[in-house]
Amino acid sequence: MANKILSDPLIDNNPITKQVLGVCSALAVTVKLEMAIVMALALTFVLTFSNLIISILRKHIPMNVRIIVQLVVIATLVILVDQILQAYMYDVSKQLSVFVGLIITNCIVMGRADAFAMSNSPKDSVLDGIGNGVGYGTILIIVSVVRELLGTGQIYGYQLIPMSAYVENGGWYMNNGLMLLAPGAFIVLGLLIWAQRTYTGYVEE
Amino acid sequence: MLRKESLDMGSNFKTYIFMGTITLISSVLLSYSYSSLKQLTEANIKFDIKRNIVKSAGYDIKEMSKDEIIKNYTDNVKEILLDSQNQKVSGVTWDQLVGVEDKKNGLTYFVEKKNKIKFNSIEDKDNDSSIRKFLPLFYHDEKNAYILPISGKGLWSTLFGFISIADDGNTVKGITFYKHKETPGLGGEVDKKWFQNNFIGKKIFNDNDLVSIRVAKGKSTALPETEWMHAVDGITGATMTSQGLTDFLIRDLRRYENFLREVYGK
Repeated sequence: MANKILSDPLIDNNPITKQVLGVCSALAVTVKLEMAIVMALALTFVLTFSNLIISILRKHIPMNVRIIVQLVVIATLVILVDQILQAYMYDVSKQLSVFVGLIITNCIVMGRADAFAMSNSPKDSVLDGIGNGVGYGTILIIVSVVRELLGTGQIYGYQLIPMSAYVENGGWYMNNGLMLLAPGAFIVLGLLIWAQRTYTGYVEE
Repeated sequence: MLRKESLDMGSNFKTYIFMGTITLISSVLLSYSYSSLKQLTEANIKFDIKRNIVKSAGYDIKEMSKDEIIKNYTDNVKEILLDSQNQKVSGVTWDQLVGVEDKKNGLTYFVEKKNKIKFNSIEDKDNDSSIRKFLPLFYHDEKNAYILPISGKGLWSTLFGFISIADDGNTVKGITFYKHKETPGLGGEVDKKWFQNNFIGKKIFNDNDLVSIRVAKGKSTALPETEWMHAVDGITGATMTSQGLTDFLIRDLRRYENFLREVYGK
């Protein structure tokens, strides 16, 4: 059971490719691998702890204000992450800019808090949070590797495609600028969803 | 009937208590983390500004370590403060100043830190004379360049940056932006080398007139040839950011016009 909670969101019930949630940030922060990794860590942190806190409080949260309570918990955690990033990873936090703050409105976090943590034990909720965070992060990392490689010829800031291979240096290779724009992310994401659904055999009804 | 009402009252009361407690915990936690991380964050911002000044002077800061950048700054950069008539001011230093943004047009005013709160509350910042305003600029000894802060509205946000001008008072040596929230890939391209490199070598004076640099719509070479020295290629899909940049660049250069003219010699 515990294993299933953890592994389910990785492939079978992946928040991005299956539930198609959190696509906005998946487009915005996947231009570079570094940003995708930080974003994945930030979201996993927020998701795990918001699930934990809400699950602990679940029997005391008044039902009529539960969404507000969830938002307060999530917002607090997100602002905390934002402050820590600004203090210790200033450059990354500048690049991520508004998207760290936008974790507050990320449907995955709210969705897991309301759908899972409100009715499950703290232990299961934590596992669910980690699972969904890693599931989200995996997709982000795959998309960003493809985009950074094709868009700039680099991975994690290291030039992978030799400079001599570029057209302007007399070679044959050109960076694909489309990959750096949002449509590039849509294409990669679409291909991933296709691959994932072929593998799991899931059909949208 | 009575009993039901009192039950409702009870559950409402519980809700208030619950919300009050959770809000209190959350705000105490955040204030604590803010105040304990404040020093680090401020140091980061300060270093970031120094780094951007060094960068706009024309150094490749990607190749430099943090210490090298700080050393380069301390060794070479002179901080100069002007008043609004462009006369040099002494007795106040750059460290004592703080930038206050006018939210209406993105213009940054520099005032003394102690006046920040008071200045913030003033509606008509431009015509206010109760608080002393300064125009800071930086001179880089090794590159012989003046570095001027610029800021203004793009599409979504205010862009903050520096423009660096050679000691002929006319030739642009570089431009950088250190803070903005424009769309990545569109307006966000102002951060990119291809865009910033286009400014290098352009002239801000056309004989006797301060014309600044214009961000063209499309290729700058599509403009009449006489304007080529005063225009750069625009960003596809970012008309508003380009237009905003054009507007605030000339506006901010005009604030330094007397000073620049003196250096330019006309």
